[in-house]
Amino acid sequence: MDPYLASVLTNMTLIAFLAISAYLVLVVGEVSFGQQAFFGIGAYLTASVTVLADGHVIWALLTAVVGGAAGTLVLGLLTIRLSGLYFAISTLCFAELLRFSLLQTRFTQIIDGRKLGPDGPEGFSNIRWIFDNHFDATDFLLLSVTCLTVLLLLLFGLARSRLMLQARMVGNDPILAQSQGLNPTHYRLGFITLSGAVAGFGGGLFALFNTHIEPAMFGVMLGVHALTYSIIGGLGSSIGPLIGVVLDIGLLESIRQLAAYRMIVFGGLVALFLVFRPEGILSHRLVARLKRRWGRRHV
Amino acid sequence: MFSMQGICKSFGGIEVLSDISLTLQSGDRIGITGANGVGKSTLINIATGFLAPDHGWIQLNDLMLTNCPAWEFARAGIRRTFQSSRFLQTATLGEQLFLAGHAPEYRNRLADLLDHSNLQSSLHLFPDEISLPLLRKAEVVRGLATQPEILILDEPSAGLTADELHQFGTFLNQQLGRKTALVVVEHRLDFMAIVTDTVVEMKLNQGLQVRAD
Repeated sequence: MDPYLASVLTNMTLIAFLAISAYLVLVVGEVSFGQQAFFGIGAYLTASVTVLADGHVIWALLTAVVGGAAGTLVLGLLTIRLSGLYFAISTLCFAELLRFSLLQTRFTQIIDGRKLGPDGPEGFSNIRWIFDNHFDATDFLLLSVTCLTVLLLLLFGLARSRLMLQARMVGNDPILAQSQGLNPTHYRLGFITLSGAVAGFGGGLFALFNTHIEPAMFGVMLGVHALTYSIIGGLGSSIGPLIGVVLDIGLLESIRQLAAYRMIVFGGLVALFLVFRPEGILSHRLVARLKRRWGRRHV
Repeated sequence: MFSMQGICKSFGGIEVLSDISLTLQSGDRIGITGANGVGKSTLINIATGFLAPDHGWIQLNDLMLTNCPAWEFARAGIRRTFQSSRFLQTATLGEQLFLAGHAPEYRNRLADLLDHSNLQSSLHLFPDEISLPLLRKAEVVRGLATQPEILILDEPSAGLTADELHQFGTFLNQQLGRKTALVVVEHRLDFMAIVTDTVVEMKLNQGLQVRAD
């Protein structure tokens, strides 16, 4: 496969993890502007484990998952009494706090004559896992698409479950949820933690793929974009955020003639969606209609 | 079984409930009526945990529920309906009823309730595609399928015609069972006559002792 195409597709796949993580937070009715921080945590942890500790990539990605989940859990526990706007602001603050901390983090070691490890604004270079294991662009695309597919299958299973319906109830109408005996806090914390795990895993793959990461890559705009993918794609299915990713990264960022106008076009698109189709392309209603048409009833 | 004693509640210095007591035994059917603004809704919200009382205590069997969150009241078996029937708007009625519980007792009771209702043909519809009388019924089905200790109905007559209300009352009477206690907050006395045994009237700023005779 053409390496440029493969890298565009890989990039879309990796951002899809971030988009799905933002989607999981939206499911329980919260808005996070900070998912990029957990993506970043995953990236830095994976880089550290593979490069500094010379650990296996499986351990590296597992560390990223646990790190992302732990980060969101801590944030969730600290902000559990906040909701709505205040939660959104606190995620934004947390993400920026983390980014500034990374800018100050220097922990470099000389290994085999190369300076390795996080080096403040210079970032973390020489993440050589794909070179050492002779992965080319197509191989890595296959790896990340496989991981994304597994995640989506898990989410499809979740979508048909009681748990997901209850989480949506918590997100849409907490009073109704409580009247049905559901503790909204448990669902919020659970889904927020899950979102951190997904973001961490995506960040881990992102670090392996880019071979160089730096704090500036995990800025607020990344999180804002991840959030808007669900607004465009819709909350009716975990495919929704992927549609947003395809539109933004696939069309706007990757087609060079359009790239310069990306922010204008994408911002306009989000505004149009909010006005004309606030539920996004794949709304719950559309998804249910499609299921009905295909004869698969939920009952 | 259920006991609320000495409940007081003020909003911004204005006392809405003063010394309200409510005692229910298994199978009691009590109607609470009263003019607008005497605190009927506040009473429901306190009895279901959506508001905490300023004074007084609430107990179900051996469980102290005072100051517990609403979801604990619901788990303990105190279920309610809302004046404007409340469902998740983005899921079908069937999903909401079938996925609301997974215990075999819940499934069996739900199947039984659905057999005796005319809801079967609406299960694949979204709440806003379903008529109000059916939604009211569905809300009761959702509550009764959990085999609650107490079912509290908040103005079930709102928006129903006399015929629809009568049908609703008949359905409720048939399906309530002996064990569940019923509290209806309502001003339609004809409806109260169908479903309740005792009706008490709340008056502004007057203490109230409610118990079935």
